[in-house]
Amino acid sequence: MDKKLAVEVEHLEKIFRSPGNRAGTTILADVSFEVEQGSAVAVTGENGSGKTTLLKVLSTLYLPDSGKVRVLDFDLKRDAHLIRERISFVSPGLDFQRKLTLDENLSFFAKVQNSDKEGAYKFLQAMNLMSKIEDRTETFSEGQKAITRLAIGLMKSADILFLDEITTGLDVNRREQVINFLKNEINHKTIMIVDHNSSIIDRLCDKVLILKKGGIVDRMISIEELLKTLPYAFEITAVPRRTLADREIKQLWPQYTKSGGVINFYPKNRSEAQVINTRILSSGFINRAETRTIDLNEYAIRIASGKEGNFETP
Amino acid sequence: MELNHNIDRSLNSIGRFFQFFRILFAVAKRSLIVDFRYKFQLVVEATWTAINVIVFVLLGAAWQQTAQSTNVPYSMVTFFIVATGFYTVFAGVMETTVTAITEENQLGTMGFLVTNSVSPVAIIIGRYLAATVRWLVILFVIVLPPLLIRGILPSDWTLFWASVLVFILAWLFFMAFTLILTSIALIVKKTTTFNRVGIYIVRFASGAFIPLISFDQSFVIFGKPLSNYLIWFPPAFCLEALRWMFTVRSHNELNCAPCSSSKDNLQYASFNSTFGVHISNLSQSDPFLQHMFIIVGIFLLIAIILVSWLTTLARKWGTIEFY
Repeated sequence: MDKKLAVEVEHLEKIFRSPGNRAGTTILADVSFEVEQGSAVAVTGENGSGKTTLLKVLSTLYLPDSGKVRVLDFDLKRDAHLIRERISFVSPGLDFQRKLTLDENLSFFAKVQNSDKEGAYKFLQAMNLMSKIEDRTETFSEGQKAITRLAIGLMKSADILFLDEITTGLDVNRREQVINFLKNEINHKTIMIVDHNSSIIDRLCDKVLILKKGGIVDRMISIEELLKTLPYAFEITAVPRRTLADREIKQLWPQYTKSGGVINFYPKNRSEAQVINTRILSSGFINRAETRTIDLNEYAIRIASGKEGNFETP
Repeated sequence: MELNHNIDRSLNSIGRFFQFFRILFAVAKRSLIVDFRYKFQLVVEATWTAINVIVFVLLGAAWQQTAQSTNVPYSMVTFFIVATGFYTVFAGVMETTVTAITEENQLGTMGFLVTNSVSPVAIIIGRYLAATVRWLVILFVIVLPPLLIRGILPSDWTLFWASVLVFILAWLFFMAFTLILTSIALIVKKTTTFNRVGIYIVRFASGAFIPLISFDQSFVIFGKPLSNYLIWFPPAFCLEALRWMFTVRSHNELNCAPCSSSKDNLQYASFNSTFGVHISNLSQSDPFLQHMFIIVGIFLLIAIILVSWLTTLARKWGTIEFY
């Protein structure tokens, strides 16, 4: 049986025009994709590829210039008010009244959303922010503001969550708490996420929508398929003591790229990474090196720009 | 337990209608809480109002020296009404509300509000409601005591009820006018001067600064004095009606010819002969007042349609939240 669609987008175009800019600036040139209900999709792409604008269009903040957009089977242009009752949009660009206390802000949004504060309280408890409930939000740190935004978004009984850079301003511990909360508590809801943090994509999403610069869809790919296409699993960044010849670098590992005096190696698995690190240590001409797992976000962007295989033949 | 996933809060059309008012009152309450947290601003506004009262009373006293035999009842009492009851509230409410969209944009709250079903119409009207409460508080604290001391109040219940109706009429007119002025900020970012000009024009046209109807003999258009046209401009009508109602000694004297028993001891012509209209007692069944309510209702509807159209344009241009 076919699954119901949460979002259907066909040839969406978004151009920002104004009286001083009649021709306009094209942010989304031709975007088409579908998202099934209950799935979690990461939207990724280079800066300026229109990720946030896409979320803003889908959450009814902006009107598309052309194309067909349906959210939960409602037409975006005609039924924006019905869509708003069923979606939540959280973004660092969206703020709340800072002269009010956290609880007063929650009460306000509970009223306008026709929801109750229990969902927000549960999230705040998990984030250890209930102690600040009577504090004015103007005294909050950036991280606490990010948690407040999410609490407002999660309070609503929304069928779709549009989450834009929700971990911005959060420290590592809080980021982990947020990811764990979303993973454990938010089921059956459709989620579309824009986030530069790779672990969000890795742990919360089942699909990736890759946008190219200029606002064009490169592809929509499942995380499973994306992982299968990975030509490497780790990335080792090495800073040499002196300029090295290609022959010297190849002695360390044949798959590499050079950029700005830094050399990157791309081992396919943990044991290959260990081999490279051993060679680096014994070579004597590498000043320092750092190993990290592949950043899915970055990799998806490399795919879109067609650079994913360039390291094979330096 | 999963978060909220089994709660269906979808609304039918009746529920949605009531939800709009729920949103309105939530916005108004939010604005009021914030307003009363800026205590210094409240002190400044109260001081400004007190200064206004003093200045207009002095102006009125000076004017009364030359207004002994005119059929236009400008006196210290009527200047008092201009400075206090009417424009203390409405100029204050308008000036507070016209920055509503700009403030939300500068705070970065606009996007959150719009995606949570709070439309710009609700933001503006909610702010207008809150500003009305705030300015009524200032009115009662600063303006009412001197009015009571001077005995400048409607003399009977009919006049009091009529003044309430006229006040509501003016409140609705200024709501529509403020909706239009404020919504420009959805498209144009800097609107301060535009708003000031708009408010100034309405104040001038309604006779707040210069009693335009007193120049009747100089301004005759198509055989009729200026006052006969101006009276169809709702704020001008409301201001004049309130002046009359606070000045005459009973509702029977609204249209007596000529009256000699006004509170400021001036001889008045009747309201109808001065303005070329047919009012009875300005109750809810008065046809002229009903016409005025229809005019203001249409104006309010046009204002709401205009704001909705500008909202659509702002969503198209992206100016709904850019700042």
